[in-house]
Amino acid sequence: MKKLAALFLTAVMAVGIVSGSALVHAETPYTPSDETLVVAHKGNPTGLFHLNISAVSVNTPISETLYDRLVSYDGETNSVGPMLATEWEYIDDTHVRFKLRDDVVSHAGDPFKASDVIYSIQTAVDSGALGNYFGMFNLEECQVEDDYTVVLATKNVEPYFLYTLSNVPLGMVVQASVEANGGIEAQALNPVAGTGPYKFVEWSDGSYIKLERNENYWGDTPYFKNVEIRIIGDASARIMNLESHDVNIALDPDTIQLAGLEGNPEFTIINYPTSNSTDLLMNCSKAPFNDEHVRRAVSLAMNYEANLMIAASGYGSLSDSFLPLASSAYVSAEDGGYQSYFHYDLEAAKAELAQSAYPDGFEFELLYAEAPAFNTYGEMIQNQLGELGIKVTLVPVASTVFYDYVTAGDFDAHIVNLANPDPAMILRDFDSRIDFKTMRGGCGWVDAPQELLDLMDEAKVTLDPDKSKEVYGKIQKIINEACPAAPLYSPNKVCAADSSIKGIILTEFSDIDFSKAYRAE
Amino acid sequence: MLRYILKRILWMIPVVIGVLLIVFTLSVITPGDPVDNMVGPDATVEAREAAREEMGLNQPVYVRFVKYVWGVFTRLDLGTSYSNRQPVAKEIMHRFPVTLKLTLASVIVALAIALPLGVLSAVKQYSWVDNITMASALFFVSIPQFWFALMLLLIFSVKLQILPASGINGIRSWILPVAMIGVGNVGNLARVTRSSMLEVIRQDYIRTARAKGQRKSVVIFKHGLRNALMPVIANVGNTIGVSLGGAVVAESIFSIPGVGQFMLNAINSRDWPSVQGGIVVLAITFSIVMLLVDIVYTIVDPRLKTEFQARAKTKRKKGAAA
Repeated sequence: MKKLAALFLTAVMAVGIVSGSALVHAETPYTPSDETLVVAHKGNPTGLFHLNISAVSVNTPISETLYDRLVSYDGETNSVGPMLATEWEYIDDTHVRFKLRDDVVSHAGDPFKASDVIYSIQTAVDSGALGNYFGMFNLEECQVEDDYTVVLATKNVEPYFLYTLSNVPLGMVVQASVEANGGIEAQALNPVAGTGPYKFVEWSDGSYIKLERNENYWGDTPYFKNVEIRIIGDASARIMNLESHDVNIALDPDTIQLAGLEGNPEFTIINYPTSNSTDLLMNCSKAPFNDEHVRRAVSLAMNYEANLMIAASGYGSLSDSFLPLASSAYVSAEDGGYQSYFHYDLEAAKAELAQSAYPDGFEFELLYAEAPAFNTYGEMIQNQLGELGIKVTLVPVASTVFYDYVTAGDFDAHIVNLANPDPAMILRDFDSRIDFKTMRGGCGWVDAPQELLDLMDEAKVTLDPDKSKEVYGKIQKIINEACPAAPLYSPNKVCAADSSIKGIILTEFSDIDFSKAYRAE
Repeated sequence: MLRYILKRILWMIPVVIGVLLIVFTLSVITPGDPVDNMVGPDATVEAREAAREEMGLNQPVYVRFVKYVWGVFTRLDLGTSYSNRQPVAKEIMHRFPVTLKLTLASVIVALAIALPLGVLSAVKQYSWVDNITMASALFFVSIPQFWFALMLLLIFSVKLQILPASGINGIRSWILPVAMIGVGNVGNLARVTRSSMLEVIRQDYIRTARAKGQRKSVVIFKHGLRNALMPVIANVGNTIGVSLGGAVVAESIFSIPGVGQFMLNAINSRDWPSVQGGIVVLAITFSIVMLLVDIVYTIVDPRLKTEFQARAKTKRKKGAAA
């Protein structure tokens, strides 16, 4: 195991060093200006101190600009690179040593040191708000070796540890700045302890958040002197604000509204594939979805291409596996030697249904949290399954109560976003050892084969990328052939912007990165 | 009169308790655990339990209700927001002036348009002016506010680019939201003004004024409109209530940090203390507005003032006799 880990480390370090070099030597294509970048954002943040608030999407674009992580994520190469840490090495499977930059100061002017890494993690663990991100740390074994060297320890082997570290909720803060500014509570309204490219200026609750360029930033000086994040709850209004040039960037547009901007030279649509997946999860713990033939029939009867075009205006991708194409663990049907049922084939669907206990069809309820894309998907699925004699009753519910139903296992099938770049986390939805309540959903696949459970356990602790992919290939063969879930599509991360604004980076981890945005001449 | 006002103020207490009871009951029977929204999907089990304990959600419902009502009446404490753990009263008071400004401005705009239109319609009854005015009134009453707001944005911000699409920076940024709410109210007020004017201009004293050779404008505005205003004033109270509701849409679309937007966010995140607080404040505001309308009524209509004075006199006499 250690040899494999060493190989993995070497690969990660090589990528890190290459990316780091690129980061240091790359020249910015602009001269910093006094302009203001105005961004239309969908909601008021629940706080500005990211370590004690939920990692919900209204918070991430703001946290992204205020706080740096130890490592960054490069979506193009699907790899991690340096950020506050310049290099790292695995000491063993659960301990990683990080060397930190020595030129980083917080917005309040205090230097960022190794002890601040431990403090940041400890603060998040104490708050309990980010258990999915910080639950993996073994704090007792995390150690400061010197001012700029820290060893982080995890409780178990974590193949996606570095990826997790690049997530926005794992942004670092400087303890001295937190304490000098009145403690953690004060940070929520007036954050000064981050080291990010922009500093906090003002928050008019429900209206806007103003940021200014961090002139002492360790990285490239941002082009825009000021950033105003304007809270505009309605998606149509955000797009109209862009069209009227009141804002430069509209985040989270409804994809259906982007058709009006396509082809317009004044605007650009930034479109980034993600490893998120919107799936139809079938409740395998009860009839009719405890029948494998039924699940296959449903999977084959859906017209994935048409649904993607109509419900998401084509802003997404289709996969032949429950893992999307952008997932690092994705293995195609061809490479994995499995039969995929996630394509439209009505005749094959009818043949599968004929082999099931319901050859003449059946009725079921399709549960989903109300959202424009889900509503359309629901209606499309309802029509398409009607061709098989399957009557679907749509049950759209408020997003706030959706989890009550799935946690209780009170559903026949539901549409849900499986959004975690770590495939091991996605696998939890298929793990029969985890109940609905613990999982807060899942597909209740109570008769999942033992072989699958063993492979899941193996995948969780496999650090070597090749071996990991091999294991995930076997997992995908078993799951995709049994069809407890059908991948409807993988939604892209999309935003619309004034076409003169360049350098906007969208990634699935960082949401939107303004720090390299600039106005082209 | 003073006694009447005092009585009306005291009546607001059961109204507020009633409102609280309804909203509180709704928050309890609505499915879902508010802790989900307080701590988010990534929270640990310990954090979820701690949040439940901290917000008192593990106490029986009646205990929570009594504590809440006690807090509202003794300390003006509207609870703590589930979303950002800030006092709801502080959050609302910070936003309330914006909503009030928006509401009052829209009512003033609505009156400024509706009164002349209503009068003109009545004076020119069955003419093309009357027909167009009433058809427009019907149109503006019927159109959904949400759609109307987006149309205003599309025309004045996107196409013509003469007004800002969001925020409240300067007077220009108030035009669209105020117009959105105000124009929506024009129809109703114009129709009330028209029907009230039609009734008044058929009265004998109007005929007398005309016969005395008074100018038409004096007859219409001094003798006619003043007497026709009573139902309009009564309607203004309702219009303010409707405008407070309209502010929710306007604030959401035009990015205005008012109580409406605050409540909408709170509803979406099931932040019940914020929803309750918002409703209580709006209910109290509406009650105060209706009280003010009644007071204005007595000022405008001397008959009511005389009635109050007569009642007081009778009571004094009864008291003296006893």
